[in-house]
Amino acid sequence: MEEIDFLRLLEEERKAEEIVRRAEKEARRMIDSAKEMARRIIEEALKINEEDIAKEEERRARAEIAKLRDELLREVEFLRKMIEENKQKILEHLEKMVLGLGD
Amino acid sequence: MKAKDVVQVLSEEIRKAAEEEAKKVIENARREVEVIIENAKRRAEELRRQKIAQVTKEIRQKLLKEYAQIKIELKKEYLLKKNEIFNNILRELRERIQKRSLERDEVYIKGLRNLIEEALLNVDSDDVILYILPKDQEIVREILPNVIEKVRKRKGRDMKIKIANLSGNYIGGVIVQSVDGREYYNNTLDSRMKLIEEDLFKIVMSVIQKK
Repeated sequence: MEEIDFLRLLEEERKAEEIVRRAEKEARRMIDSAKEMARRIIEEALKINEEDIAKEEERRARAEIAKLRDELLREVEFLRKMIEENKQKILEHLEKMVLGLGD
Repeated sequence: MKAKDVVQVLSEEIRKAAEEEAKKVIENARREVEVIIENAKRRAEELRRQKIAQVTKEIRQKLLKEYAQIKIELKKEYLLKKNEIFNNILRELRERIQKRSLERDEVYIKGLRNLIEEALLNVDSDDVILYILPKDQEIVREILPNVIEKVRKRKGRDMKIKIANLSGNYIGGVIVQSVDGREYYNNTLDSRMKLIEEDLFKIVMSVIQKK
């Protein structure tokens, strides 16, 4: 009867271990590289341009002031117009109040 | 089966098993990589959002201080303009009333009658002094009996009234004072204008809205 070549089998076992070891090494490399990439992703995300934010906020604040100025001016003009249009009526009413003639 | 063939079959099985194991190891690593990157992206987004919020907050606080003064100035300017409008109304009102007072027209006389009546009704004393501008005293003497009669009907008793000079820079109207000095009712046009001044905005708006 022919004998089994155990040496060859051992050699095959060694090669198999080598295949798994290489895969494990590659897996570790992949994970390390992913961790490095993650670190860079976070680092990049935190690089914000404060100057741009400041400019935008300044623009917003100026716009708010301009809006307030417009609103107040509009309000004064509206008041002026309403009073001008109703001046006689207002004065007559106030005059009556002062003179005790009703209202 | 020959021993050689057995070794061949076993060798192939060993290699196949190793390759499958290696494939599994790589697949697991790929999944882990995906999770690491995905988590990093989420975390990065959150941190970026937080940092932007913080920086924005700091800048806004700084700007708020700078712009608060401008806002105050604008509001001050607005109030000045608004006051100017109402002061013009008051000035015109004063001129109109002064003119009526000087001309002593029908409206003024009717008003004076009402002011005296109102003042008399607002003092409890029956012995009073009417302080009236010298220029109005002649008219007051004419209208007074009628006013006293009206007041008598309202109060249910007679009043003893003395007329005296209203001194001071008044446009017109009346001050009633009880002889004992305990009661005093200022119904001068000037004091009534002061009262109106306090509520002018409300009064003007109500007139405007009453179309």
